[in-house]
Amino acid sequence: MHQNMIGKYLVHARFIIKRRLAFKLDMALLFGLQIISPIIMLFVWSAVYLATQTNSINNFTLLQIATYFFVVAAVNSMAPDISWGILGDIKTGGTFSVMTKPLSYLKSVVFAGSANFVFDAMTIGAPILILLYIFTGTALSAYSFALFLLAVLIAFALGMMFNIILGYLAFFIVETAGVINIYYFTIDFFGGWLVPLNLFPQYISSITSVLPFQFLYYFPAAIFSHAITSAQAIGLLSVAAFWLVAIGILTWGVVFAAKRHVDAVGV
Amino acid sequence: MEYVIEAKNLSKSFRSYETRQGKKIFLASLRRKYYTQKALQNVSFKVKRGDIVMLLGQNGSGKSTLIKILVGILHPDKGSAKVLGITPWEERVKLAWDYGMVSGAHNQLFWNLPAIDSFNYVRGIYGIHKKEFDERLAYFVKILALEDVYKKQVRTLSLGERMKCNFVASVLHLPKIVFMDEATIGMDLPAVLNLREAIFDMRDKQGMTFFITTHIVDEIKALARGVIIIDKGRIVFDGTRAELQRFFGSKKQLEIRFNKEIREKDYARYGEIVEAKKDYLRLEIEADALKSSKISELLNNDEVTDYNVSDPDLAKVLARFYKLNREKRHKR
Repeated sequence: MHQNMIGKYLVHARFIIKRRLAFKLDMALLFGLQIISPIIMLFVWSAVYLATQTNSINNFTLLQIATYFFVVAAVNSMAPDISWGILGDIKTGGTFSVMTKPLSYLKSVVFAGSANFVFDAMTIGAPILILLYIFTGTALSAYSFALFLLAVLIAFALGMMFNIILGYLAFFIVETAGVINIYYFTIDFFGGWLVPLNLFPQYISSITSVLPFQFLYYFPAAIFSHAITSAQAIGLLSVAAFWLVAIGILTWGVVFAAKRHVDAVGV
Repeated sequence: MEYVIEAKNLSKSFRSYETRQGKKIFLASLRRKYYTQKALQNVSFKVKRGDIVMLLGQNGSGKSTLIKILVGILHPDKGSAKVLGITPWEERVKLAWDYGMVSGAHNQLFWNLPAIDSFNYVRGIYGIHKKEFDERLAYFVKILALEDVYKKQVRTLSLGERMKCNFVASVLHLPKIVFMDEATIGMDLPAVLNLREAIFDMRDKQGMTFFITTHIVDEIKALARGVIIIDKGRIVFDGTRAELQRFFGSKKQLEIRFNKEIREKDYARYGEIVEAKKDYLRLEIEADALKSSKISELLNNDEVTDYNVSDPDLAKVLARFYKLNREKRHKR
């Protein structure tokens, strides 16, 4: 009796989480790191505000900055960082154990990434947002919160596709660690992890506003910290939709082309 | 006759490169010499349901490539294949329900979890009913002596223990075909013997087919019903084990012990001398010659204390087979 088509991937995803739970101390340390990173940013920006003796920069108060970086930390904790896993599978032949079972490697990767997303949202992302609410009282209207959740899902979907592309590149060039690191540097800068994009000079903002990276961190964090209005957020959704389709097509192309390269590396 | 594997003219090439050597390591690594390696060349064969077929060949002969094509992981450059009526590389996922794959080179288990978790994973993926799963697991745990093993973290297990667990994880769903690529690596002797018993049992009760690659001669002797030898990507032999042993003609090994030290040249007329030292002589002679008066005269000699007639040693047959093919290639 064959397992149903979705059920087998849910089983796969469940064991991926079980595998993570084997190292509980490591999970606790990662949670701590996600909390420490916005606190450090808060210290840095406090120094900036103090030095400039101002209450707001580009209409962004220190409280908004704090909110922004805690939300960035929450979104970052849920990011589907599966490119390293795919790279490892391809370099060491780990794809073999999936491909000799009735599983599609791509679907198993997507389900594993989704399971990690839900797990991280529950164990790290949501607790960070709850702590944020407790300490700052920052709250959203139901409408803005719905927009925020949509923005988080867009960040997840785009991040997943970028990671699949980066991971699958290993089928062509084997070692993609350099490319993956460049990607993370790029999204840290152009995605708003390092600096809120609305604080950049105009000539940089005009570039970041048309790139897809803003949807990985800046877009959800800006909604939550009121850096953009709900109307502006709705306007940006059309840009997000364009990039979802464009990156989706690129992902499909890379995955399709990689099928013929499985023999070069990976098994 | 029901064939579970039918391969026709399968060919596969890989583009690879050698890095040239030099004193300046970085510059030398940039100087690559590209070449095309023909992993498989027009490979055709058939395997019947319930067969135990050994795929033999030297390192780099194309055995693993052939298996990867048969399970749909690799695409051939040309040729066709049907495994259980399915073209593997076109419907890999569909085919995977019905085969099991055990590879000495690839771990199928969750490294940081107990082996039982990997078994439960297999149960979930294949939708095996709990009662059937428990019965099958109990059978394999008993036959492979895994009582003290399967609840430990995989990373703490020895290579042999991991291979036993890999085997269990690959056959729990009772596949129609089991591909075993050097799957007994690291296993202790009792486990290997029990595994052979399990293979025969599964073949007899479930009608499973086994397609096995190995370099272990004992395994070939114990398991092989059919033998396929592959050399540099070409099939050079496809037949039964007995046919393989007869490949060099119907020769037999005649071992003789004497009550005195012998001189090699005195016995050259009886057959091909394989070994001669002190009071021991090993000859290779045609089976028909055993009944000749010349051999009878030799064996009835008072100086002979003992003698034994046997088939040629399989390991040596294979070694000679490989050598012969290598020489043929060089001549071409």
